Amino acid sequence: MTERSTSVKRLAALSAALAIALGACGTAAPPSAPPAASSSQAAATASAAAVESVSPTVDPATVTGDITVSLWDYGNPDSKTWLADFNKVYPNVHVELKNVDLNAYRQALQLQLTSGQTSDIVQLYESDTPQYKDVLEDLEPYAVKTWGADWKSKFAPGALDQQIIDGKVVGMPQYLAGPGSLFYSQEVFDKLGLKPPTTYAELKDVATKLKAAGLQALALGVKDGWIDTYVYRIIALQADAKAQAEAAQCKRPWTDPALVKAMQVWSDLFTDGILSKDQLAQAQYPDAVDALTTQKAGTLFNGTWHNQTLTNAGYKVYIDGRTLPDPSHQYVLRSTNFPAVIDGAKPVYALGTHGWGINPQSTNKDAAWAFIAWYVSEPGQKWIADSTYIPVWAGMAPSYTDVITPDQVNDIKTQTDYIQTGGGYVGPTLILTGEQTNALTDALQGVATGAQTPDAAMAAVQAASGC
Amino acid sequence: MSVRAGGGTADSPGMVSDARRGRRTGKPGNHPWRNLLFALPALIAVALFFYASIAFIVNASLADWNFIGAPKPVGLGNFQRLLVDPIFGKAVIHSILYGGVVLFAQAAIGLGLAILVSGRVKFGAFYKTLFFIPVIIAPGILAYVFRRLFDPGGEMSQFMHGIGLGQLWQPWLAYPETALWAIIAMGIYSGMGGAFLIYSAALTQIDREILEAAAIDGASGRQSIRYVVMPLLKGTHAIFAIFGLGAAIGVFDIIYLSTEGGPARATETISTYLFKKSIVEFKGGYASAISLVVLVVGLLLTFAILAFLRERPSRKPKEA
Repeated sequence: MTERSTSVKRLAALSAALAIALGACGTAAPPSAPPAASSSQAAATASAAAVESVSPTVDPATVTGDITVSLWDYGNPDSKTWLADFNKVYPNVHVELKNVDLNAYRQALQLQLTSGQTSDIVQLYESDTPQYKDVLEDLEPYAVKTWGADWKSKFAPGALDQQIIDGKVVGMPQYLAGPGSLFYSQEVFDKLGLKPPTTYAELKDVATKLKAAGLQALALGVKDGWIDTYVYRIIALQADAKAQAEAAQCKRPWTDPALVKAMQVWSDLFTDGILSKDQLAQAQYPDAVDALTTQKAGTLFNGTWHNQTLTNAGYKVYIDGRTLPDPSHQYVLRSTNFPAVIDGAKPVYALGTHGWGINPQSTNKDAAWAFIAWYVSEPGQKWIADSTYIPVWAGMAPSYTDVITPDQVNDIKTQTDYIQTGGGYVGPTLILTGEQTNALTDALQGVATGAQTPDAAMAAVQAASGC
Repeated sequence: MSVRAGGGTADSPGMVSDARRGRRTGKPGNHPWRNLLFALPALIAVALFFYASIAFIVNASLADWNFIGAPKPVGLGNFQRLLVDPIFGKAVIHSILYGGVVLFAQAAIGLGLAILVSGRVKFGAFYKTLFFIPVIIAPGILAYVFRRLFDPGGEMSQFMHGIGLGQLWQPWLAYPETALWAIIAMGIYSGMGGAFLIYSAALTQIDREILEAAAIDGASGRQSIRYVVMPLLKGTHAIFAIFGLGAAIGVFDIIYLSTEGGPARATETISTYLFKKSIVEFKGGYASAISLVVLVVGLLLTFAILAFLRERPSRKPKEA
């Protein structure tokens, strides 16, 4: 989740994802529910219990009064649960959540922040944060006061990248998630004798066998620019970790060989039949995700947020209303790294995060900060961990208590370890302008339709990039 | 009918004369200033929410502004960019094509259906309800349903393969060559019920005696429609065209929910482009310039429609 995305659909996707995530939080699993009583789960449970006992970051005795929080639509019902947790620690702070539809929220926030007439706390959509740099409170003094001068070291790598703009701490991160995962159906792979691909050649081979079995090879909502640019981001990171970030800052042209090569691989995905031109009509949500859930596709490209389908609560949400080949069977969806599609490269993930900002006109900034500090540090991040997201607070890992099978626990754990310590996340977080993202989307779809060559497409991106 | 100074006519004295008479006779409610007072709330609302908004847009269009920070004046720079913006050009062409085809098709289908169920028709109420249903379908649902229909594994594909015409099927929304036409089909479907309703209501206002007189004079059904019904529906055509024009220029929901303007801008229209520029890219000044151009073009087209449909003196029939 690293680009300056332009797509409303991505927002919907993430919304759905967090809704499910918080659904998982809100649906307290009975003690006997998790069938996967692995040691990692036990450790996670113990870790969660330890987190609950952690002292709040801002002294509850020092803050009181009312605050309002503007946020978009997802998580509203379940936010009451974590809000109740917050109020156990801060009984004297009354929080009013103002939930609205995400599109309306983004439109309204522009005007509200201009006039200063908004809530004490605003939720910041990841790619919008730079635009709000001049109209939000600088949170650095608060962070220093609460966590000390080395406060940045308390956050996970990449967590602050999108929140610090030109040296100003505009927001505090909510959770980490990003593209780079390949999901697949255990049943389909077992039936066809397939193994998760790790290279382009293996991916092509798996795709051929899946198509021969009458299945979609790689589910991807090519209609949605946000997921197209994510795929490109992953390929470009494999080609050259710095190329796209530097092109976004006009330090390198978009016609750089590494970026053209990445576009060529995107083109190959279509010419080699791994993706189909027909998928230009498919959305990532629900079409592509449904294709894997209902076993009509063998694999799916998506982000780490989709690991929620590996939990009991998430799986129920995703199969609700869908027609499965065998409705009585609980299908096993697995998750692994998207293969290294560039020769000699390794799998990579791109991370990003939404944020919380404080309105400078707020009359209760201390209480607002107490809320944010609670949310982004251990007590609040417990909820994030429970949703299988990667917490932004350093040293915390996703919780696996609701993950369905030991294999799936291992999938998420392996991915998270690889991202956090194994070099899977290469950073820095990419921030594209809206124009760059739209130009890249045009290029990717132009290549997908066959109307543009990779060279011409990247030349068009360069022309529209403003560099 | 001679026109008198003061606005009235010899046959009908008119409002101003009435008002003067009201003052003389002391009748309540006929004073111009009092009338103005009653209209004041509406005038203020219009001035505030319409003209002030236009003034705001004009001001914003002359600046480089993200709607949040301080605007930087750029003069006519945004308009100059518009002139050479290839995507805006595409969006205008798509909007014109969408508006033209959808308007014409909706009017033709709506009028045709209205004529079919006019008069005494068995199950007329049922048909009317059936034809109107698409109007009440939420755009979100409509877009989803059509996407399902056009999906490679969707119902349309299955149907066409089922009747042996599978080779003619393709995922219409996926290909740049067909995506706009698929969107146009959705637009026609979603609005034809409204056109049907407008024309149905207009047809009920036509005096049956006129049609009977035409029939007595030997006019066939086709001739009655062409030479009697159609001229009498001129006002309805105008209303439908003006409202339809606004809807066509402003169409956003079904496009954004179906294709988001893609693939590769193949279904980008002015409204989707405007949204992307203002909300996604934070190009407030540029988006305002687009809005202003659309407003001016919309007004010009409205005047053109009114002028085209304005009642003209009818031709004298050729003498035998």
